[in-house]
Amino acid sequence: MQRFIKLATNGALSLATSITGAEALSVAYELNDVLGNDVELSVAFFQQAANSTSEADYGMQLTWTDTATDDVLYQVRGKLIDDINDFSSILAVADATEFFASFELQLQPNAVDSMVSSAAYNAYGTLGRSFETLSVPADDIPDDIDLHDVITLSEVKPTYLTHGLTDDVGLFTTLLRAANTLNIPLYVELPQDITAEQAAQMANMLDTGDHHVAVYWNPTLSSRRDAIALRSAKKTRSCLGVLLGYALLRNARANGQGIPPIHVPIAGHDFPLPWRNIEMLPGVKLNEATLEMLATAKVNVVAPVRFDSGVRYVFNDCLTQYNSKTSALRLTNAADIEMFSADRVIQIIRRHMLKPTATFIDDADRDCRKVLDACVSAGLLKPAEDLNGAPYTLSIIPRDDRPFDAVDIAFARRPEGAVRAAYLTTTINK
Amino acid sequence: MTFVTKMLGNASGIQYGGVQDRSEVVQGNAGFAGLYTGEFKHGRFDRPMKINQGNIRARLGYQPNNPHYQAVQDVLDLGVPFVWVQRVTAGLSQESILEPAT
Repeated sequence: MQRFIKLATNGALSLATSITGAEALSVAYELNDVLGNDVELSVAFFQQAANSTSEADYGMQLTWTDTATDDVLYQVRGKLIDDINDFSSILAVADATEFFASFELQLQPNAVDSMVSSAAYNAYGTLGRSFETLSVPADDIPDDIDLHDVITLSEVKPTYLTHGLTDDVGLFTTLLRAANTLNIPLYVELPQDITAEQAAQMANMLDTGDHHVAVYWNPTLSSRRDAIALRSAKKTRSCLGVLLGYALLRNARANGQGIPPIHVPIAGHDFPLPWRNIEMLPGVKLNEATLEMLATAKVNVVAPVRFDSGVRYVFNDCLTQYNSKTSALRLTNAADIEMFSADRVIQIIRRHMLKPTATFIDDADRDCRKVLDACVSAGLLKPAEDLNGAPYTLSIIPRDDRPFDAVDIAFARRPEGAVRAAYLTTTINK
Repeated sequence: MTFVTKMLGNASGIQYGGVQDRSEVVQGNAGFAGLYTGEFKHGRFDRPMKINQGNIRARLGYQPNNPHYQAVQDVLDLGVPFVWVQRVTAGLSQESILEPAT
């Protein structure tokens, strides 16, 4: 939203949404950010040379502060020169921050006199502590944002989408569409202030049946990150940040061929939740019946598990929302491998498209096999019975019906799984 | 002077087509970016923001009790250098999963 910092001829400063044209000085700015409550803007003018009356020897400092925490949001300081090519001009400084959608300066011939009579004026050689504070009203939340387009058309292609604590169907559906468009996982978290039955019910009602989606629930209490006392109040919190963090760290451990170990699911003993003073929410009892109900609804719950190394709070399962009892796609790691391998093949095909047919087939086939062989050696793909023991098959052949401009590509693979059930039989013998 | 051109006509000279780059490597790792969508106090809606430990307070607005803010902070606390954050508003639709619209 465009706002105007106005300096009246009598030296009074104000912030408004329009100008009259009679102001001695005005700065019109529009931020990329949409600001919430508690924001203040402090304005200060500085004389930068003794006894000068030229505007070019005067500077201006604008500081946006969040008064709730005293955090400086943005700060811009520069000379009052209406020339974007002058590096010391406040215009050039503001543009360099990349925080502003627009930033314009307007000066009248009497601007210096008005500045001098302002309470925010600091003459040359003074302490420079004078400033005036203007309250910045909260911006309106834009209602014309198409979230699907924002995510899918972004320059950065995300590899994971996460959203916490949603019970908003519209938002969830939009994110699901975006995840499907980009062919990436979407991790969502259920609210914490619900019962296990409600969690299962919510997951069932989301009912996507889609292997892109995994649902998490974190019914735990823990100390806040910024708690300053050891015995501070315990609060519920979202587990998605930890999940996303672990996933990104795992993916960074790519092998020499650039393949990340995505066959390792983020669940179980090796990925404990790192919070302090963690305990289950009172009222949530993860007994056998509850765990069965949550697993049936395909909810991955954060639960305390007694390992031989001690009790750890871990992601207790690695299920996607895929509707099947035996498919590989019901496991988060196998689904991840499916998306990753398909995405790599798609990227390679796109790179070699619009080349002569024979060149395309040679190049795409060679590059795809190189990446897929690397996936096999990294452990992402395993020998498949259906494929006669091969971990993947790939064929690229020109189409009979469109021999000049189209090819058929068939790609089959068998992803690695994850053990989430074990049948143990023991005997004692005489 | 040697006559080097990109398109040789009748004149004597050398047509040089430039260099073909065949040194590029097919990378398995396409770069990984996590995108967290959530509700925050400040920040833009029209594209994702790159958030790190240094700018999280200024870009998103410090809200220690906001679960979305905590989640982003959790990602960074694990040692991830930065994470992309997309600000969204709740109530894109008023339809709740627990109480379906009738």
